[in-house]
Amino acid sequence: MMDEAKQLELQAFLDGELPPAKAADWQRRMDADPEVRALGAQLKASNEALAIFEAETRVPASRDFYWSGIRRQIELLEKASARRHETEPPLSWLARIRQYLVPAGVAAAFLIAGMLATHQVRMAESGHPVRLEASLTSPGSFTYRDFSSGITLVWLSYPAEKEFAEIDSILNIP
Amino acid sequence: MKSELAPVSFWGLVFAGLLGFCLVFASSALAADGALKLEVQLLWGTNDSKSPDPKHKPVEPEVKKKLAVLPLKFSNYFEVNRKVLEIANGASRKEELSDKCIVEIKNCGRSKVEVSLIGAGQQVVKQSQNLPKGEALVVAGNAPNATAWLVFVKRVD
Repeated sequence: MMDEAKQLELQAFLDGELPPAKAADWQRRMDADPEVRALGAQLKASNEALAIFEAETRVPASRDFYWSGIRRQIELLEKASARRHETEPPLSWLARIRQYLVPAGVAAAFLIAGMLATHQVRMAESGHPVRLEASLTSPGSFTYRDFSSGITLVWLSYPAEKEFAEIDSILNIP
Repeated sequence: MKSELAPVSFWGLVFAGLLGFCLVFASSALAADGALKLEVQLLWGTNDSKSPDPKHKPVEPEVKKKLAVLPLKFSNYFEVNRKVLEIANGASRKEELSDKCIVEIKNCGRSKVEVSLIGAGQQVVKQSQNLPKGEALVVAGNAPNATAWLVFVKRVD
């Protein structure tokens, strides 16, 4: 089993990129070693397949001239873009503010969402029966809550029947 | 140029709307942590159509409507006394509703109140609960001749 370096060297041999001495050495190995021969045949087949699918394009100019033309075109486009930025009028204060409106709007939306959540939690707390913390000093009392009307009743057994006389004075009932 | 500005203006309107909502909720949140305005009424519940005390007047329809949902058997309620209390956050107020009935209310913040009822010098009840705007707390008990006394506490603001 050949390592990756050897495989690359074999590929270079097949591409004709090796010096004559090395190429002769690889030719001998191909003739003697069936594994090298098999791999060589596989690489050659791949090369041929790639060559078939690669459409060869010929440029009607020399290599240097072709690439310098591309470079000039890029430079021209860069200069034109720079000129356009220079000639553009500066942004008005309104336009500058508008640039920050979208992110500010998003931030405000998050803020509102947070405040709504807090508001909902508070509302839930206010309407939840668990939040009704009755601390009664008199036994026998009970608490009733009507959620739809938002009213809570704490009914006390105090005062007892014998203390009705006191109630009269509390209520100023004749 | 006009077509480029149009979507930005739309976002401007959206932002202005969101800012408005922000301000409304911020103000409501701040108000919730501020002073509480409470209306405290001493009431008498009876099935009689008239009170023997000419000073007593029938409760307001809104109060009667609220009391109607409670599991009380009385058909009529009369107002004996009424006080409006404005209590700062964390502060408490004590008010005399009659000669022997005193109510003490503490603003615990975040719409929470602590209502203490003192009858004949003794604390009868101490009730702590959230009281959002428009909601009411009624502390009541038996009175002679199958009637009842009620302390009606409603948050006005």
